[in-house]
Amino acid sequence: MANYAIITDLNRCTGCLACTVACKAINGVDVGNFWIKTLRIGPHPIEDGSGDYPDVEMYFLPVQCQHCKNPECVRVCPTGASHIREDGTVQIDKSKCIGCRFCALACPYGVRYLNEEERVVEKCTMCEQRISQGELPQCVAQCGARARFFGDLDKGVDSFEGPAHPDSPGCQYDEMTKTRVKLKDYVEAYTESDIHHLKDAGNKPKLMYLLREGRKWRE
Amino acid sequence: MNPEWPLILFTFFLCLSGGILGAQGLLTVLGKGKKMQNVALIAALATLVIGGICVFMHLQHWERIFNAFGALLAGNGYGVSGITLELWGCVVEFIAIALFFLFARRAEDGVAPKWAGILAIIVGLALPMVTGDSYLMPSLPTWDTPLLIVYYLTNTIFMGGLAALVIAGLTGDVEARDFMVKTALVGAVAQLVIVLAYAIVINGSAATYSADIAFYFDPTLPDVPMVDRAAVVGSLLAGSNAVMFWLGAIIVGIIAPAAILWLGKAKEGQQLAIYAGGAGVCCIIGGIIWRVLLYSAAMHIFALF
Repeated sequence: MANYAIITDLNRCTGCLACTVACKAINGVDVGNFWIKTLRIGPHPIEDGSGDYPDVEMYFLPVQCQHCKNPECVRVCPTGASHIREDGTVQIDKSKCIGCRFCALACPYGVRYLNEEERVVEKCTMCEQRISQGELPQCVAQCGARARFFGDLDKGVDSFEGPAHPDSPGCQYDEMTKTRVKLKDYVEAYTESDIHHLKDAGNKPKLMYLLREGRKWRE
Repeated sequence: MNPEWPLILFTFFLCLSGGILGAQGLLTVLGKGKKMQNVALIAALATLVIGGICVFMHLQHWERIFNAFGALLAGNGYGVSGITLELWGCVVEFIAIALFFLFARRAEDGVAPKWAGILAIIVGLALPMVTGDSYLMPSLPTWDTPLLIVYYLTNTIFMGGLAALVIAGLTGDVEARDFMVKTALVGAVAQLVIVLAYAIVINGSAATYSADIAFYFDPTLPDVPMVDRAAVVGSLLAGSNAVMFWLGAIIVGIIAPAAILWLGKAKEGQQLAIYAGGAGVCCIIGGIIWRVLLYSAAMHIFALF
């Protein structure tokens, strides 16, 4: 059906935390829990540099559920609560979750949290409530640097979309949300080797990060 | 990682239960242990039930386990989860105990048949190994090693031998003593080797983690320092957990009980039970400490928060 994912252009990401905050706001994420975290990676000394400022580099890294192709969280779930949906996203059926938290242990990225009130495990749903009606995930829609793009991996990463300004300032909600730009058309040129994934423990993470030459991807 | 006490107690009681059942099975195969048979079966069953209650305490919604009975029977569509295997393992052990008891009652001499003993040995040793297997996850390199499975096996043999000696002492089953002393001592030596090897493997695993990321900052945890991966995995042999490891897991948990057992190996009756019980208490303390240390030295492979 589809194979949804998100790519983040780390050369554009300013670490403004808009994605982190937008996610908490729209999904009602508990205090202390984060379905998406924005880490600062570095500063690390650049290669062949003096080792001191200004010969350093860094980037911001939004970390969330990677909606893996081979998710260990799904394999260890005893009740089938964690599952892969037809659109390729990893979801949790809360009514089946027994709160054993083995999925949280099995996730390499520590992005699953126990909802203390409902006593079930939660995580990024890729805003399933929004993408199922053709909208963008909130973290993509609210990205302050327009660094995040959402799309179907089966159609190629070049076709991933982010929000754009509508032509008419007083437009309606529908027009506003459907006005989009494509990754390939909007961001600076990139090659296949500029696309990275988080450390793979056999789970094959699907979410992608763009970091071009000049800054070293670290895992 | 913070210790999950219900899981720690679950694995402990499962090893104890499997050990008692396996020890009684071994004695039965050897034509011994008739007097202690019933008490051993009750002890194996009681510890299995306590272990089961412990793990249910870990679940936030244990009542929902029946919502997904299909997944428990046929897997979750992506394989069979470790928890499912553990659950069925507990059911199988219960059946093995029941069969052992029923066929012992049916036998004219009151002793279970040898096949029941063999079944008890297999089930008693297999269940802790299945439990160990369910904790092997690539996301947690500290746990993701066959050494965890082998540790549970050696702990089962050690605790099973000691528990059998306590029961033999209390029930006056003299003929079970010598072989169970040997069994417990073999378990002690094996556990010592495995725990030391395991600690060395953990100690050398720092490069497994996100080693390239030397510096980072998590704005949601601004007052929490970066995870020092080398210090976490190196904490056992010479770091912050070294006292717990050497004193608790090795000396109190293995060497002391082996020494106490050696001193009491020729005792009989209540004297034997006291020596084996003392050794057992040390073994339990050490086993719990080692399980807690396995949590302390564990972190996700993407170890940034």
